[in-house]
Amino acid sequence: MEPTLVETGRILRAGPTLRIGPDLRVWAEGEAVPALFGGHTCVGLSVLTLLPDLQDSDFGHGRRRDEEAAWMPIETTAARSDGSTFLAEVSIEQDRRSAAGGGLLCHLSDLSQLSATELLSRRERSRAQLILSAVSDAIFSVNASGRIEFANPAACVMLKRRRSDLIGEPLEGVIEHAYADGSAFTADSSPLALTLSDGISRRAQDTTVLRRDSNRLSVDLSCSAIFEGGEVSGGVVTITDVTERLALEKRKDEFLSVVSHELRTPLTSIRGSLGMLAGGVFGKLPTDAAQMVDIAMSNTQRLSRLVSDILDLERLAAGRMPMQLQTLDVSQLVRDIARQQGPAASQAGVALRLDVSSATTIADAHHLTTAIVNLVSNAIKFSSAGGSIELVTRCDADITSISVRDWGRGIPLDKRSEIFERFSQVDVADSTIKGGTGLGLAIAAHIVHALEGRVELDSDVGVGSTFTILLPRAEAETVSVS
Amino acid sequence: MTQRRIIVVDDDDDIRLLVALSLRQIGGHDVRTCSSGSDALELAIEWLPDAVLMDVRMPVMDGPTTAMRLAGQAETSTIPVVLMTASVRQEQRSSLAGLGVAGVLAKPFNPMTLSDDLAAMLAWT
Repeated sequence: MEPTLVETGRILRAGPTLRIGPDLRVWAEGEAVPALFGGHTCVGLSVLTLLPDLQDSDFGHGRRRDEEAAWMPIETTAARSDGSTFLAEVSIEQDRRSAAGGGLLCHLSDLSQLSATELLSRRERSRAQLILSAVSDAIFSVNASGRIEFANPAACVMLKRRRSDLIGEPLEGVIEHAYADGSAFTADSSPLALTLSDGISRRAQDTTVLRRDSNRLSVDLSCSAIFEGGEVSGGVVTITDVTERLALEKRKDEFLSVVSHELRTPLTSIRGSLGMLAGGVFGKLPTDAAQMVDIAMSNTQRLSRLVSDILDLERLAAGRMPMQLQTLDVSQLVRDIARQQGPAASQAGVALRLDVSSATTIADAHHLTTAIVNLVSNAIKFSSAGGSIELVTRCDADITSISVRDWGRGIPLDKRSEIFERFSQVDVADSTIKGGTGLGLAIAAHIVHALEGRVELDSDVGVGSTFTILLPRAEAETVSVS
Repeated sequence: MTQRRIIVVDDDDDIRLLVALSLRQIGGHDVRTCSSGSDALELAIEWLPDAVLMDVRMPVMDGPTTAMRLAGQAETSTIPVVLMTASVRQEQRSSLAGLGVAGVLAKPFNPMTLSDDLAAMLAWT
């Protein structure tokens, strides 16, 4: 285990360094060490005696660290054999030359001569370094041309590269940042290149980077520019490993799909049996029996709607509902919806009026229809027989709007913010009386949000409510590359 | 409506019974049932039906696989297949529709209109 003399000499010549073994005793010391400790040698002493405020774990922790991890300097008290002490900075690192492993190098520097200001600024620097090395995200800083100036320990671990292989290299070249499928960003779409040229922060979700072992890692990457004198002088790039999150999402997806199937299979049998009974396939039912079957039927339908709504909402809320965007004629869409909702409205004794003017937006037809239908069926539910509902579409320079207006009981001020929450109803009795799932408005709001629009609510108690979907008229300029 | 020969494939006994009952009683069709994809392949060759109505999710051989096998064997390659799915997902339904099957029916279905829905999908008159 003992190091050879030649080796020891080479390592220690440089400065005030202690070479310590796994038992934390000093094996050898640099020439400058005795001067720090009052002219006495430290060889043979435990480093815990020399640095009494430190503990085994300060060294043990260091030994477990990844070889690329930064060895954070510790500010601590060093004790001389005469009982006097001095403030020292201690950096511990693995002794790679120790043949059997387990040895450590402990670099000391005497801080006792520093002024208070110098000490303070050292501490600030070391705190900043400590933070950078403690975070689990990879953090890089690059210069204006995108070359790496700094990489934190997590960056080295994530990419499986040594720090020395990273510094000075172009970041984009090293990480080969690409889309989820591995296809590369073009010069016009590379988030880092764009940020360095215009200074706007960007976030690229569900992308990948290349590790040294040629595997691609799923990541979220964000970059921000560093400004000096009004110019972009470089950037900071943060990369978060999302492998685990993606795996969880996948499992949740599978779970939801199983739940969906397991719930809908018995519903199919119940719905089918009741449907045939109600349809008189096996003879006409007595009036009371027919009524019971109708109740069972409508509740089965409600249950099955609830299952679909919960699953839809789950995916919408997680931002995982695929959207097929296309330019839509909103006025035509609203006309179709009015026709489709006509029977439900007349059944409730509610007149459906249309006031549509030509309006277009870019949206997913299926989902936007769902959002509008949910608003309409909500309006029907809360209108009294003999009442009416108005569907209005408008278009101005930037915004296309779709309003659903009712003259129902209105929504009190204190309920307005929560009305878009799941299972929220103005009155707790509503879910039983009105037969809604309590999810319709939440789904509508989530869909509109996913389409980069918003839903506004204007309501007066006793007068009625107007829900308005506002969508960008043309595709908004987006800096998101996800 | 002309009487047709239809094979109903579902591993769920109740649904198999319901679908068969609905197609017989309301549509007046000649219906045979089986509970697995492999049974369906055999029955289809033997009976050469006008259509196969089949659940998507079945153990061992699922609906899409069975549909592909039916399309792959010469005797049954022209028999139209309609898949039934309890999936609520739009994109899953579209991907099923992309399999080259004649149609996709959502569960829960309405037994009173099932025959008509099927006829519309298969352009039966």
